[in-house]
Amino acid sequence: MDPLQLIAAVDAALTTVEHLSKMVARAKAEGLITVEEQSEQKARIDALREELAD
Amino acid sequence: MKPERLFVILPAALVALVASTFLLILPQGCSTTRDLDPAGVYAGDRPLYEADRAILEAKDAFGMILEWAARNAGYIASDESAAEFVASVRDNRKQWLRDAIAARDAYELIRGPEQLSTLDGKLAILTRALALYRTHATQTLENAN
Repeated sequence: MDPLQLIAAVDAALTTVEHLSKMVARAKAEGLITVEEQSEQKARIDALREELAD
Repeated sequence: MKPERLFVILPAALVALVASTFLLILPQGCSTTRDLDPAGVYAGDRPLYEADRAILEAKDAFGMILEWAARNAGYIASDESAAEFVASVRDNRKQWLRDAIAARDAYELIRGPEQLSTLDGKLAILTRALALYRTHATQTLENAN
């Protein structure tokens, strides 16, 4: 592998690692979809079901 | 509501619907989005959570489509396919949503691949309607410019 190819390969690997690292950091920062959020959405679906039944 | 504003909101609904379709197909845990707190009402069932989210997004979007149609009556009257599309949304949106909710209820009860496939099909109907809206809304914007 010539030096230019090696540099390109390393750059590509670095980009991938940085991208994955950012994704993990974002997932950690965002946390879980909370119990409250889930309950709120479920309540909206239940309300829509009732609304459409009328 | 300005057409530009609709272009911000409706793609979000489309993304939710398309994402939900992929999430129904992919094994749980493949998504890079936030995980469900397993103590919640969905008990970690990602496809069911995403299906509900998509149904609610579609419901909101249908309301906006009818609002858009009222504000763009000139375009609707001049384009037969747009008129047909709006009439279809007006006439069928409740049944589409009923069908999607019935499919999610069936999936919630049994949680088998057959129910998941049916749910996927019902969500695809919602996706097609929103994608068609985008085509017409784009035409409206082009005509306005």
